[in-house]
Amino acid sequence: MQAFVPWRWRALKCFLPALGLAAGSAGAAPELAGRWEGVADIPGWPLRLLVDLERDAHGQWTGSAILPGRGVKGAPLDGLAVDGCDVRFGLAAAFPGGGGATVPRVALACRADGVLAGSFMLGGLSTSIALRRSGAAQVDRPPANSVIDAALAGRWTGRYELGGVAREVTLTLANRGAAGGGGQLVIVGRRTTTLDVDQVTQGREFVTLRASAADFRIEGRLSAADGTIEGAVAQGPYEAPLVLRRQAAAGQEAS
Amino acid sequence: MRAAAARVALAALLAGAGSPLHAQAMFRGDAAHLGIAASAAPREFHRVRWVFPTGARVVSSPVWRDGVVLFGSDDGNIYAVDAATGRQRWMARTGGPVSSTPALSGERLFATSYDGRLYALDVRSGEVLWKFATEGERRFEARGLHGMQPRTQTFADMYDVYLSSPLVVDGKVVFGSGDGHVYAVDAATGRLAWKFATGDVVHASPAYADGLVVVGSWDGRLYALDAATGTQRWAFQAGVDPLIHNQQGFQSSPAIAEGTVFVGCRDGHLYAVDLRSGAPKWNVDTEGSWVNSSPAVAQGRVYFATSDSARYHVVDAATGRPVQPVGSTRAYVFGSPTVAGDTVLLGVLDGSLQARDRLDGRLLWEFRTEASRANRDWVLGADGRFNSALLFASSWGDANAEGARRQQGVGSFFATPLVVDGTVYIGSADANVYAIE
Repeated sequence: MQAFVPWRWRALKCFLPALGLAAGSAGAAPELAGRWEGVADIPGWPLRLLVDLERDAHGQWTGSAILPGRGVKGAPLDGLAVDGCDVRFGLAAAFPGGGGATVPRVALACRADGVLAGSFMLGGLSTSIALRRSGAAQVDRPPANSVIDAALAGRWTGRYELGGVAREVTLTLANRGAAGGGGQLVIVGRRTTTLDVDQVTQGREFVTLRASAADFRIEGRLSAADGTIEGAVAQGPYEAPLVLRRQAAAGQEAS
Repeated sequence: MRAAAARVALAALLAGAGSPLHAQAMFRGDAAHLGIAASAAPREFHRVRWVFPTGARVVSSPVWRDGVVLFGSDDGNIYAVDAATGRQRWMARTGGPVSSTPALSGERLFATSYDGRLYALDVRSGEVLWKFATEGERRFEARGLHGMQPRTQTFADMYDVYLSSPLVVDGKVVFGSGDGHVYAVDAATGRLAWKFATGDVVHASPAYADGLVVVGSWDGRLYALDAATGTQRWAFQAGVDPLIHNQQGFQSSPAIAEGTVFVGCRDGHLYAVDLRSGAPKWNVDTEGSWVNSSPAVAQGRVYFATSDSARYHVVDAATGRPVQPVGSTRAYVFGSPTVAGDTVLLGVLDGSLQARDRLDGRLLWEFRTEASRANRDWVLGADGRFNSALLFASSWGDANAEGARRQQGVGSFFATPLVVDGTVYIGSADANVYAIE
């Protein structure tokens, strides 16, 4: 049932966010930054949810979610929008089996009792959700891409076999300014697939490269002396051994 | 400096005359797996200092390094959490549930994951240093397991909850795998040093003493291997159950003291076996109740608990005779006791952490998870025991697995408590890790 809202209250509600006050709150706006904990009332299957919200160094809201029991810790909140006391975000990373309309969305607003309450929407369905502040925020930030060094930057080739099909791999890596390392992966098997390598972690010896759009990963031990990355490719549950060898750039000799 | 010296002296006193300060760097504390804490546990419950939520069940037991608590979670991550504040220092992702306890050596942390890999991480940052791939993980499985039907169907064991926790000895990381092998991997390079094939899943955790690695397999044998070469020195054959495979396998990890190996078995016994020869010394018959709990050994006594019969035993290490009346834990115990001063701590699958007097076994205090107190789904009956009539409706198909999953809904404690500076740290199936004072 639609609640009756007097016109004066409606008008006031428009001004409250501009004043930094919480619409719907009897007193001062609650501090949104923090850890919020509660349950989405999916019938017969209450979904526990912890949401961490805080402003980053640039004053922008950022957040992550924990879903105990679903194996989710630190999933980023996508499309996070905070308007006064209204909070909206998606949880695509917490529900990787979804996509499109099945990406869960959460819409919350402050209540007078300090609770963030609203709707949890998934697969065209909607249910109530209520979160209570339980402490300081502990936002998990996605790991930053490494700035790669000369031993890793460049062109690499290798070959792996999966399901009886041989695949030739060509990997090109470079630094992308402030974004750190990244590159392109070309896989030639029965067909040719080109992937953007958007997540790069270079440790002292161990390297992880990920094309997140395809959940495709290459990882292994980098030997600068041998010019090899010895490890494996993996996509979901499937993996195969792979040795990548450095290729000389045009006009250079392979080390 | 004086405070540190006093702590060392106190710990030595608490652990027993002549005992060294026990490390908290791997499963059961140290390589011998004695289960003795470095400090005394509180004699009464005061408060929960912090709760750290993860994304899934925590059966991994925490270890300690310089004010940081480190553990794995079935959400696939390894965590480093500030012991004072409960705030995360770092988180490292693996490719599967981390149902093992990390081991620390130097600046490295080692842990196994259900993705079939042993991880070596920088203990300060969580950076991956190397990974070692086994032939792959799997749970113990058998046809008609536990009497599940149809009896010709192969079922994975829902109670095979742990992975083998690594042991670090002489520069090698030793651990068991679901592929049936015991592996030794060079701690510095991640290269294979040796591997030894058993007859089935190895999810118990190896212990070490006098040049021998001792570990049990689900094939029903307890193996002693030369730590340097992996050569078998002896094998002790425990019970087997060819019919429903219920009364078989080592899920308990051994403790080694004074030339004796103490280990529980699913065949319903706690065994004492000679370390040099593998000859049996004595056993405690638990009348068919699994001993998945890994025993603690302190001051000439062996502490362990049972699963279905929910009993807490304290026996003489030399003879196996009881030195205390057998106590009731109310519900199944898979977790292992920690001896912390004059207190013995034990996690129970009903979501309670129980603290008992070490000398007489009386219950001093208990902490229960919120889910345990709420008793959603009536998992527990009025007597505090599992409401098995409700939980296990049928032996067909996945009904047993569903019942076991519901059981854990009360926040079962599969993990072993860590006690440092009077604070108890333990993870729960409710996905939280608790710091309790």
